[in-house]
Amino acid sequence: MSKDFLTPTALPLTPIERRIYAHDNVGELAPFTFEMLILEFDHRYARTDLIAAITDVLTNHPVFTAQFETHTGGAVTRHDTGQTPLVMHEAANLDFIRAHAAYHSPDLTNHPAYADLWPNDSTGQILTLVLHPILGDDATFETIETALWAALDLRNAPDALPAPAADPQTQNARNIWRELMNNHQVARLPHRYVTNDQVTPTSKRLTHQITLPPQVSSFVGDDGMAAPLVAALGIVLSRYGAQDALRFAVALPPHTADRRSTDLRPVCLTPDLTAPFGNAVHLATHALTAAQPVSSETLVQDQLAHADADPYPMGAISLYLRPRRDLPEGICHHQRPMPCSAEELVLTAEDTPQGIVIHADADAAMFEPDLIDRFLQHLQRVLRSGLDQPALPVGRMPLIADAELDTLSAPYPDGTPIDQRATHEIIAAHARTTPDKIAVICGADRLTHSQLDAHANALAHRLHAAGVKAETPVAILIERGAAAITAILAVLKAGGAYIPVEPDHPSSRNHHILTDAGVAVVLTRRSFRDRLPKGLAAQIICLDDLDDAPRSDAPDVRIHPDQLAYVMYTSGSTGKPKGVAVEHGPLSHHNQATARVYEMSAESRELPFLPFSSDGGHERWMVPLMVGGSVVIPDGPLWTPEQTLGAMREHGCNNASIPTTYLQQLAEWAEDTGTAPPMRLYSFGGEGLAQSTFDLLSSALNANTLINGYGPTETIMTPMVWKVAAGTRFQGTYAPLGRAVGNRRVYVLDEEMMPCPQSVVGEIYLGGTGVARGYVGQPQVTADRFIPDPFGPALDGTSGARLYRTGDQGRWREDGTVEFVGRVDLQIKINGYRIEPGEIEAALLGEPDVTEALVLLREDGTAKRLIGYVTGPAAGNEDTLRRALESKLPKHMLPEAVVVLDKMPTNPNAKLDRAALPLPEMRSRQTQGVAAASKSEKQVLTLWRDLLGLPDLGVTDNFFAMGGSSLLALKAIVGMRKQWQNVPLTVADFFDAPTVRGICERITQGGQTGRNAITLRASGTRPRLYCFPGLLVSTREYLRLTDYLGPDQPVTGFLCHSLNEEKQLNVSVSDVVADYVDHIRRESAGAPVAFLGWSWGGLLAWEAARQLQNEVDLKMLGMVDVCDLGTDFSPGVAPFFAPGELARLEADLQTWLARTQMRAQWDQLINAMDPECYLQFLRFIGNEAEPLPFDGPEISSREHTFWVLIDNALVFRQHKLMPLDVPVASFSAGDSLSRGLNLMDWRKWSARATPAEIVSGTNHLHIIGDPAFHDRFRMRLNAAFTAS
Amino acid sequence: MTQPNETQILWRVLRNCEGRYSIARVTHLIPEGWTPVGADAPRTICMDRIAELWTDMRPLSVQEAVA
Repeated sequence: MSKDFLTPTALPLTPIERRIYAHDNVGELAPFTFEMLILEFDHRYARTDLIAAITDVLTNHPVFTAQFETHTGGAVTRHDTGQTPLVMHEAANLDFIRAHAAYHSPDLTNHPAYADLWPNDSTGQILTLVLHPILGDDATFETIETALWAALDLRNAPDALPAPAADPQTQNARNIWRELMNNHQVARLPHRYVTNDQVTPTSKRLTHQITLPPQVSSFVGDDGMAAPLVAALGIVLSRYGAQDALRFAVALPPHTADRRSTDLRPVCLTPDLTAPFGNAVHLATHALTAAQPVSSETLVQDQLAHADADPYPMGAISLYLRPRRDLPEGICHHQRPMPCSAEELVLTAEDTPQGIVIHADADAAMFEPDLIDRFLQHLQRVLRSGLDQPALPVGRMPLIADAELDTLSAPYPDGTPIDQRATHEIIAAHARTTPDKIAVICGADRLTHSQLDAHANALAHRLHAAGVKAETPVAILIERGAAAITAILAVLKAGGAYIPVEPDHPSSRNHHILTDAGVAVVLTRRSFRDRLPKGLAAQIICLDDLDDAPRSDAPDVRIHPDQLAYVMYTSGSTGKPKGVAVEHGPLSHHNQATARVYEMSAESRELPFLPFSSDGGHERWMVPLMVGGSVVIPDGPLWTPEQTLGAMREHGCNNASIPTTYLQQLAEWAEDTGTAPPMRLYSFGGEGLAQSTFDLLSSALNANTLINGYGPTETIMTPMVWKVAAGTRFQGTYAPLGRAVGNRRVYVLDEEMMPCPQSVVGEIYLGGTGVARGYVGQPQVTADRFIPDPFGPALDGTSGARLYRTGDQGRWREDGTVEFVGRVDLQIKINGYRIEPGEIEAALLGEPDVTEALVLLREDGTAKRLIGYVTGPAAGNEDTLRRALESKLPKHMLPEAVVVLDKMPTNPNAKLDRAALPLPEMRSRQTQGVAAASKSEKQVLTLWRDLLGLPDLGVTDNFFAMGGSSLLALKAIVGMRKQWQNVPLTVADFFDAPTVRGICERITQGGQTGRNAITLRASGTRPRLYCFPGLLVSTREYLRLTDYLGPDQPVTGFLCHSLNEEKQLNVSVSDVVADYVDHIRRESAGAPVAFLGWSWGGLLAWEAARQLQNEVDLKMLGMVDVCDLGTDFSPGVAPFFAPGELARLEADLQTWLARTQMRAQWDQLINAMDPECYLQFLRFIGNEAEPLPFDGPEISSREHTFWVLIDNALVFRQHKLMPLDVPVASFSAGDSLSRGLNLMDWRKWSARATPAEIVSGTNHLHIIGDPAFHDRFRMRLNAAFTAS
Repeated sequence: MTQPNETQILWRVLRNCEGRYSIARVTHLIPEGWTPVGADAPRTICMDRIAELWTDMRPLSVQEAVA
């Protein structure tokens, strides 16, 4: 601010005061609120003494004498000339008093502070003080109290503290902070899941608090609260967010606080989870004194200079520290102000006589309330651990109590006693109880329970005679069907372990399986013999060769529960498939528990579609037979949906199990034809199941119950299920995994094997008895993946139990079920951020037409590329999709490219085949550039090739798609205009015809160029939105907003005149706008329209509205960060020069003018200045830190920009704004308020203008591209268009 | 958190009552039912030890029953 207004009695505002003033000026104080203090004095304080003391303070304390004056150009000064009266009242109770105080509305013109005194119902007095936030906060109230105690002779006033060191806004301090802040990521708690249609921002907050118990309070508070609390917060946030280097904001109590002084500083930590708590405290102490404090306003402005700044530049989490405030005897607080709710989570730690109270204030839209509550508990637990176990590494501090872990990890409740028989024994029992009931249907084959048992017995005896006994591996190379099931049961009855081998699988895979496990016997058919490896050392038994008579007795074989039942080979994403060995006991228990969870009975008839090479496929025939039901097996591997649904109907199935990849086809067919038979239950699983697919299943498949199953082969078939009624919607990217089944537990653990809090992503581990023995012949890999279970002993009393490390990422949801997030080995870490592909996938799934989405980090040589794959939209939409993501995701999460596929590639096991996903071309053309066909094309092509640095460029290539920016486009225009001097050529022409061929056509045809408006979107039924450009702004800046507003919103952008080659000096605002007005008149006379003006464009839009009154139906005038002239050039503000300074500046000016190439234009401009303006110009030059530029006259040069700014100031100076009766929606960037820019308050110019909406986390330049702004703007536009 | 050199983290080989083997970091408490086998060592050494010792992956109960 110019020093012209400062005098000894007129003080400048501090940065925070300036910002609050700006907020008040545009009509939106939030997040600041009125600050209220309520003190009660008991009977020992005589009323007259009290009144005298209070009056003394009201007269002398700067808070109560403050007055503010605004000067031309927006400068504000603070004076000591105000008065705050003490208002006396009659007796009242506390509630009434509080309500009365809450009703006060402090303002900056007359009444910034209120003081009221009330006799209480009992014999005391109550004093209420209400301040406008510009005057102070809680720390300021403390100084007021101190003055009050002194006036009451209770305590001496403290010695005047030295004035605080001036804010070292030195570049060096700022650089240090910027580097620190850029190297540490903003820490935040997990946000609740929201879908696109849930976005209605509210300012609702939720609050929780805890009081630390006495020993913990002492531990924290004895040496100063700051370091232990910061340490604990750092540890908990690290466990919540798994960031290596994180930051949040801390406000220490200020040294002096006559004025509003509490300020946040960033605390940057790199927690060491292997070190004990003391070390964390040490780090915290260091972080709190890391660098010289710089005001948060300055730090935020620095951060917001970059478009990809976090929307909470100081941090999403703040911690305010409030030391003990001892009041004199007989005085108590009834109300103290809390810090403003500016961050996602605001924590206040206060030292009270009851202990340290930690209060949390959180954005209600972002967080589950229970999350905040748990977070506070975890904070307390960490402090308690730090006290009780000082040597414990902080990464090993438990956040979750045992009782909580018990509940979270628990399986579906199941009290039924376990049947100790093996699977095949339970199945065989039905041969006696329901012998003639159909057990298996496959094609034309029918087997009753007794037939199945008898055939299996016969084969079992043969196997027994062939030497099969306990632990003997027997391969079954038979197609899925009745014979395969019979063979499997036979192997089990003989005591062996079966290994299913899919005849149609690649021979290399099958050969590996057949030789890996030491297979002793192979059961197969003659037709498959040639698929066996040559020289296999095993007995080969072909079913075709057998004609043993069925028998009712099984071989006399005792099955030990720990002996092998089967070995199934994993699909193995890397290396050779491994054989997973599963024992009888766990298998049988699993099947029994599953039968109960699926509520199956003898009535069950299931159609299992899963292949026999997956263990889930076997579960789905074993379980129905175990309960005495039946199964319908597809004959042939590739049934169509029509066949599948037909079979279900024909055979009266009531259950079906389908792999997820096939389910989409089945459901789509069912939806198209309406042929889904009614079913009790569908189960599926295998990959992440998206909401859209799940919804389709619910609506199309006519089922009561849906089960999403999950589980690696190593944890036996389907260890976890999510079982819900059809039509249930879930919150999340993928359908949840649910809970464990049977004697199992599921855990979500971090890298230290500590349980993760709910919502925090970790790795899924499965424990209990339902895990495999391990990998055949691979003791090391087995030991690596099956690890000792640390929780079993405490939770279940088990001993020597194991956990299987799944390699899948997941988290516990609010309801305690588990959600799948992605694969650990596909986890993506870029620049210190851990990226959840699921989030990006969810954003893609939210786009129209997209049915499936997958995001991966692909290796391309040495480069790693984040690529998104989708199915659904037509090919060619890649760029649109990617642009859509720009408005939904932070920059570091944007995939480099999006690839559209017809369908996701799958491997023979019907699982996703990641390796088969194509890599997109690097940004380059598919075909060779088309050559020039004429002289003009050749000239232009050469020019463009030069500018873009692309020697291969063709005449049909799109300038912008090939990497051209708006600035390069301007240079291209300059070049082309040299060749065609009489043809007007603008950026708008470029936009419409961004190819060499296209633009040459226009030039040579004549009369087609010189447009001053760009159609950003032509189509749509809504009223057209006209966008008026800021100074030196390319209309392309409005592209993102246009995309966001969607295909039904037509948008036109006007060109900025300053970007034209011709410099027309001193054009008035109305002249500048005349062209635009003509265009609007031609296009939209009489029609409803909306205007949007950004910065200088706002004034242009206002003038256009004025010129077009009654000619168009203006529904809304959107004003975005529109500023009035600052003090530099406001008329009536005489600048101040030190003695001799004016002459020196004039000499400097002349020297500079002699050197510049824009001399003629500068002379023109200076000659147009009136004397006062000329002096302001010299003052402006004198204030510039950098030397004057003379790199003009190119449009991109600093000098050109400078000239345009001064020219614009001259135009602005002469312009008189008139009131208009138009509806105005105004928006201000948070950073502009922070800088105290002289933002316009449109309520002064139109009665239909509302207070400004403040978009924080962005600045003047970036607001137009900011997603938060887009969202708000769209809401206002919708409201304006629907209001009639 | 800076990752200490891989060879500096020590692990131990564990065996449970069924005769199954596994591996865990020395900074983690040994869960009930598991006993250490051999000295603490870097991970690769531990893995080598497991390859030597765990030749029969059948649990002890099965080994006894079959014998």
